[in-house]
Amino acid sequence: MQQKLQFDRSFLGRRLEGGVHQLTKEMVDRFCELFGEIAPIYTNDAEARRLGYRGQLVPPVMLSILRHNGSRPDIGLRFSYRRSIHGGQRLQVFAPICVGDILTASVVLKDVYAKTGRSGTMVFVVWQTDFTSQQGALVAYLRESMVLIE
Amino acid sequence: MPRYFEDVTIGDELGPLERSIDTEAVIEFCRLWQRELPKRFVSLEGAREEGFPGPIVPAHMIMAHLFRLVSLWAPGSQLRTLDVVLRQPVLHNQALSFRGVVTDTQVQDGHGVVDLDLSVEDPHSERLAGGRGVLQLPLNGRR
Repeated sequence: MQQKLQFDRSFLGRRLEGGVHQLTKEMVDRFCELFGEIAPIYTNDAEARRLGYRGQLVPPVMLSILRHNGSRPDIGLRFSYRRSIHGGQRLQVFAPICVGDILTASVVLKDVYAKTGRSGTMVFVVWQTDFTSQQGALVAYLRESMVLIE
Repeated sequence: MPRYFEDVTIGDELGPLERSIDTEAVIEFCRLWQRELPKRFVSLEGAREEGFPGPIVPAHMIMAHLFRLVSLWAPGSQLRTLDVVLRQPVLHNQALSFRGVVTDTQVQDGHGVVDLDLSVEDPHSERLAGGRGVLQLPLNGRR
């Protein structure tokens, strides 16, 4: 069942600045160590270059860290909830990202909707963060659904 | 050694990658964010205040382990899409099994493209998260 939600609808589709970010070799190496990533393209600059890349690649899932380093605005949602959980996320990658690349993030509120089921009402807030390279090309986006539970 | 597109067939399995994510790993991951550690990820009290039975694993860590599953299976492949739906919170020190299966293979614009169905299960085979991945694999011209 859908219900009308109150929030600042001017945020829908409006592009907001998400900051300029750089993933350093130190960050990538720490990430790889934490998750046991040993693929040479993510751990060895020379090997990545030998395979035709511009340099050591950034595991694309690291973009979620950049997203978290940027803040999202209060959309004025009028819904009282007990807790929020991460409902899901979609990472879409269009081009390899290398250590040292400078990425500009922009954030868009894609959707806000409610669903009522047996366990009560849940509100889904869907944000998308687009990442653009220093050449101005869209290299990836991360779409995330936050679920607010009544 | 890369996995070539020609070596992949529908039904091929990835994993399982068995993992239990402990508090220390969560703290280390949160430090990568370079921000204050969210309480629900690192403290029992903080998690209970938000209605969780214990501290939970950030969704991005689940995604990162699914990526690791894919990277282990096909080192050097290029990830195009990773789409994950979380069915319930994952607690610290919970035994997790990350799995995948190839659901489609096709050549697109000269690239080998493989679709994957991905899952994260607990020891009772309950699906905690599921999703889909799309990978680009190198072609070796044998097929």
